[in-house]
Amino acid sequence: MKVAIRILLLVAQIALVTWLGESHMDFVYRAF
Amino acid sequence: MTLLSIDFIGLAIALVLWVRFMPDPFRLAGFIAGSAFYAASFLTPTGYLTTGGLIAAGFVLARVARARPSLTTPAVSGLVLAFMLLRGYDVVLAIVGATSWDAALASAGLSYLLFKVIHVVVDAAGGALPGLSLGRYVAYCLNFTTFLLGPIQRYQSFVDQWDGRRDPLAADLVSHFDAVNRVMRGFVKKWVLGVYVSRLALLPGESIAGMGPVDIILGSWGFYLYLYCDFSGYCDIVIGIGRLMGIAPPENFNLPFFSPNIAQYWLRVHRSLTEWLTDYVFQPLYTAILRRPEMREHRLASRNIAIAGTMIVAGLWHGTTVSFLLFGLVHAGYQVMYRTSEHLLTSSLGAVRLRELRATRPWTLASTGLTFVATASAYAFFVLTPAQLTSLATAWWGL
Repeated sequence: MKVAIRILLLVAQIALVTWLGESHMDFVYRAF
Repeated sequence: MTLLSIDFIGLAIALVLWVRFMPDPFRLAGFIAGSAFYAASFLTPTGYLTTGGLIAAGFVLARVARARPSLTTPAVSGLVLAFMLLRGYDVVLAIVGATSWDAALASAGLSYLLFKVIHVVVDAAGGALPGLSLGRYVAYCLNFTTFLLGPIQRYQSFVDQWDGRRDPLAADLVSHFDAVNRVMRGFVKKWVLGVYVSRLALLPGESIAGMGPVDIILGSWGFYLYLYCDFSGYCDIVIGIGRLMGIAPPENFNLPFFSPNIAQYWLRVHRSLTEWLTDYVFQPLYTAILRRPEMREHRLASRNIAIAGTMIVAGLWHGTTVSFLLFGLVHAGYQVMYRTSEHLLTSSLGAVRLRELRATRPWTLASTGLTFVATASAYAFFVLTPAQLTSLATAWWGL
């Protein structure tokens, strides 16, 4: 059960990033 | 190499498997090569020199300081001066009479590398790193999970995990899924939430023409939320990967919006930086001030001076311009006000009554709200350039 919940969470997060994820500026990296 | 790319995910999977399953010396050599490949993707050819030079100088100075601890202060001062020169701090440009600096001299990750190297030099001088080896030191400096944006891991913690004395990942399947989910949570925070929040934020380089005080302050609050999503998301990604690999960086964030006071805020936001500053700036400064006979009876004043100095260093570490000095000064003011008020309240109410008062809901709500408004608004100094701040001061107050 514990593993199943984690697999569901993983799939949901992958779906979110694939569907809504957008590349954006990485100014924070350059600043440091 | 952006984190949301096949390149980075492929490199991370390869290094996790390599570090977990390869024997030494291939394990160390492969980790250094993979981390150097990652670091090189952010560096210019001049950046290779500055990064390599800082790493080499740190190792030599750590050896020197270990043999002769009295040379630690000149060694650290030299490192800091070299860093300020490379990054082109406004004050350095003013001294050398330059108006700009070759941007290629500054390289990604240099601020974090400086703090790692200073930690190694100081700890080596104190005898805390008896087994400092070149290979592990280079691996520590270039470690791809901490090279670019921290968290600032300590050498001892890195080596303990590298040698398998401590594994940040339990052997069960649930822990492995938790680590993978931590990475994915970071991707969601950074590339989904962060992107949407950034549209509400005032971002560096944006025009502020026609903006009033409310726009600037609300825009700074947006920037704080965006920075949290972006930076804590990044930390989730590298901590998750680190756990899978067996070398996890330290935790860095703990919902800073709910900090009930400024001291808690600094422990909940970029905690590894706060701990570094406490050990290598605040403590030496506080000890040095208390050594002065005239300050021994004034512990609160000594503490306030030391913490104000630490906040100014924190501000200047974040950036090279006067805006970051102001950011540090504002936080110095917050810290002095908080610590002085704590002292006065404890004196007048007593520690028990104050503790009871703090536990009440109205007090918690008010102090948390005040801390949020103060810390979020201070990000205006983080975002705006000195020229923008001057134009605002002229437009609003005719200065």
